Amino acid sequence: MNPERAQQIDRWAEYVKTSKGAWKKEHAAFINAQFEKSEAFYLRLAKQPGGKEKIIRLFGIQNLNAVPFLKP
Amino acid sequence: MRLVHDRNVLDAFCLDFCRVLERHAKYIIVSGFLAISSGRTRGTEDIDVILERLDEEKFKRLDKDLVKSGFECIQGEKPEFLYRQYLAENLSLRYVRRGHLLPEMEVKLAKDLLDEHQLENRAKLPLTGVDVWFGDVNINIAFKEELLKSEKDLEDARHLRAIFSDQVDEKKINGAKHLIHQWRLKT
Repeated sequence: MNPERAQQIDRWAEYVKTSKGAWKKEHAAFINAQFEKSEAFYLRLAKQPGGKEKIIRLFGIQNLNAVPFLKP
Repeated sequence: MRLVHDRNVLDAFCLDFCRVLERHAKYIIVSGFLAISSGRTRGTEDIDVILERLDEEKFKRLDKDLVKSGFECIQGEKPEFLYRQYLAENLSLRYVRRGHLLPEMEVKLAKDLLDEHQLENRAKLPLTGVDVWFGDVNINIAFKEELLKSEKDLEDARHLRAIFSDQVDEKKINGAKHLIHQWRLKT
């Protein structure tokens, strides 16, 4: 492992252990942002010609009731 | 938009899913989500869960309850098909919250003594703030260092070692690594 990367992981872990829970808010924002960006992207893609088919192939979806916005 | 106030999307998804699992089977959450819910800042699209071995009838009841609770398996709707084509073959099922592509819950059945050993040693980890059953921290570290070994997994292991330094038990980790060789690597 790259030593700088290892140090970065150790520094963040130390912050998690010592920040009395303050890390959770930053962490939640980081995690949620990924899903919001991803969801917004796929909703845009679904509106493009052939977009729904691309998503269905990409995720291997065989049950469209799971994701009704992908139905034709 | 799925903001869940203080709780992140993964935590809420995992809690809701496990609330249903709890009614049907012994389970453990393993691998990436254990590291992430322990503060690791990295992306993931799925949460890995191992269930005790269920027969087809028990799985049908579980699947019915999951669907009733707003989850769907993206590989199909018929539980007997899902059980026979996937679970019985030691393959994973992928469940999502209806209407959302992500995150996914990747569900598989315990396939050997190593998985059963993990189920036996499951634990709640209050530091995560997520009230679900996790695989033992030491066994997760062993998996990441000895079997999975990607950059991401080695970083997860380092993070877990730092966060749970008071629980890290080298004897237990080495014991789990021995079992990994015996059951997964066959060396």
